[in-house]
Amino acid sequence: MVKNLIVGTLALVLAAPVFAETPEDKGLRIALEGEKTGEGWVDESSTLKMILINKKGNETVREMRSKATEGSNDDGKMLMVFDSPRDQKGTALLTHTHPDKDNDQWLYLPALKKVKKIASKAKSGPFLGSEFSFEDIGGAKIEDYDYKWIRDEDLNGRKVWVMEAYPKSKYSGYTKVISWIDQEDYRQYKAEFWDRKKSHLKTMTILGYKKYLDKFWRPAELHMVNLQTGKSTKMLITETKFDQKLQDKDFTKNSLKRAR
Amino acid sequence: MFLPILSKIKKPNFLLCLPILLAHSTLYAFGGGEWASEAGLEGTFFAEESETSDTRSNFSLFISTEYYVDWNDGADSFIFSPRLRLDQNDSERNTFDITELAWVHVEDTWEMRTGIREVGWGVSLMGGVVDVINQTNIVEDFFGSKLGQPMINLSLVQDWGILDLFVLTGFRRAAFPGPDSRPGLPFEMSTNESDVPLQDREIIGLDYAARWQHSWESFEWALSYFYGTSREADVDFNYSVAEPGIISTYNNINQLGAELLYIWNGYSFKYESKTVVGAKNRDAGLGTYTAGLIGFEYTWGSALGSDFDVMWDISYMHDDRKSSFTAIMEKDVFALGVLNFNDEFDTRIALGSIWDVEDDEGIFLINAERRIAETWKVTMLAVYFYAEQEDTPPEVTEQQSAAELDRLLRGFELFGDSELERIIDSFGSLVLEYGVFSDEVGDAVENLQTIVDSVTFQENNKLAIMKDESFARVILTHYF
Repeated sequence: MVKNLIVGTLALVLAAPVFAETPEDKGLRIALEGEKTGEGWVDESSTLKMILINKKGNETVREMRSKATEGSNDDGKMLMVFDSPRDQKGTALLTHTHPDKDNDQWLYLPALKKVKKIASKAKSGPFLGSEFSFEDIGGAKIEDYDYKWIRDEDLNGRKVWVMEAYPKSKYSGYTKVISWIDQEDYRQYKAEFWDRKKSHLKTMTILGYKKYLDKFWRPAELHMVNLQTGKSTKMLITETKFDQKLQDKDFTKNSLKRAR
Repeated sequence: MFLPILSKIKKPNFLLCLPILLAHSTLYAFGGGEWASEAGLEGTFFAEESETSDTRSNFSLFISTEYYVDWNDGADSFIFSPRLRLDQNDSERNTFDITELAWVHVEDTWEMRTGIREVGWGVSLMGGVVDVINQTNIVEDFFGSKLGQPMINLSLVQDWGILDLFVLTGFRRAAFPGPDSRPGLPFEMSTNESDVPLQDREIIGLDYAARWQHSWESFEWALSYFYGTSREADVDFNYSVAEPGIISTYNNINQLGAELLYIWNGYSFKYESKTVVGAKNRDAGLGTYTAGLIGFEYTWGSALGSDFDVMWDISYMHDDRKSSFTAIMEKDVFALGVLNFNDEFDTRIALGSIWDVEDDEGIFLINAERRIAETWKVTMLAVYFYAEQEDTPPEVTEQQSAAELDRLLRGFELFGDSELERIIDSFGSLVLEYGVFSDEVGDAVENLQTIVDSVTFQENNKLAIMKDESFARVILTHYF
């Protein structure tokens, strides 16, 4: 008994350099490193086209434009303007992210010429009827999840980490998100979303990566397939631009009102 | 499909289309900008004939467009949005308006907006408490769309918030639906300028306003001030025995408004209030009144694990005016529930009610909308007016003698001491003084009585004025 304990302790001490990092630690480290690698983009704008495809293959198209500043300490700002369908044209969404509290969001309602602050905490709902939910679209912070590295794998000739993230918020629609992440440049190639009933809900594939400013990888297409409903959404990202000299004044309630 | 309807329009004032076409071609030469337009057909159906109109169904066509262009990297922009409506039965609903025709210049810490614009104040979806810049158009849209307001608006964006300063000109009278309109009022309210003794300042016509808004943590607030001609009409008698009529009048007011929004755990708590100091024409003092709203909004996201979300908004509104025509409801609960399907068609169903807790009457509505093709949307609306039918007062019918009229007019004096009763009294005095009796006088008495019935006499029964106006409406809109 005592001997076993000593052997056990010895084994632990000897193995320390190998086992010091638990899968959880490694998962968190990868997430943090990934975030750090992605930092420094300052500002960015792009045009988004979502193609919603139902079970029968019928398509609905939604187009929007977004611009964002990185800010410092996670206090980034984003403005999204909706172009189509035409009845939604002119609607705009302003988000201020905060490191230590809920994000602030305002919606501009062109019919009322009013800016409305959004109070909803619900994040699991569909984003504009697509297979993306609000929590997929943006504003996720490192501290919103617990992480776990699962295994290393080869994916299309690249070495990737497979890791799991577990949302902490009870408002999340997921219990688990599995990600495939490039070991060299932290690009994410694929994600699987598991719902509250712990069954596989959606799979997202990320395609057409291009490097900007010699440093930042941005995809051209996200493809989200809902395995439970047979519906899917393609998000096409075009006109990605950096160094737009965007300033705080481009992200105020006044700028939301005149966003085009 | 539109042709048969077009041929039915009584006064298709096609001249009204000209400005749109003209603007279209002129601005096209401008180049570079973009147009966003919508056009549609609206059909409205009434359960009953009203006392003054036997119209049971009505169709109208509408078109509106918005032209936008910017230059100097977006530092300057120009917007132009006209709208036009042609109505089958009601010439008062043939309307043309320029909602926006403005140039906006943006600098780092300020913006200057010059021209005709639409401005929305307030935190409530219901609106109306502090919102004062634009005149409302209840003829075209029962729930009130806005008419364009000419202005210069300097907006300062600073660390201490956003301060908007306004100089407004070109005051516009509200138009009221008449006896032939549906939904409408059972009497004719004249908006004819010549009927109304113009005040000097209406001619000079400058109004001033300021609004400061700021936020801190989960609080957002605004304080506003308005000095000028009230956008809310009051009802008056034109004091003409020869051609008696009911007119709308406007007072100079000072309005102080406050708005507060607090967000907590998915709830929005809303508060709006205003104090209005106004002086009525003709030395009949209106004095000071306050109105306010307090309520909350909550969105239940992914309701019951579905993709749907349900938004609730419940507010209590209060207006301490007793006999104002416009403040037809005084202590009301406003409840709205919106079911969002969050689907690719943006399907949405809303149920709403405004309930006067003091008088047990109210308005109920259902609104549903869904996109049926990429650029087409269908909207359905049903509105039900509920008012207890009790204590129907004696009606003025055919007046046979001045003596009867005399008796009737004197009878009004029993009502008390409200502003409207004073109108009746002075009308009565005039009639008695001049001894005039004609059909017009009879009509005027009827109209006055309708108002008094709805506002003063039948205190539990104000909405009775709308009792036959419940309707269902279908709107098909094309966006292009």
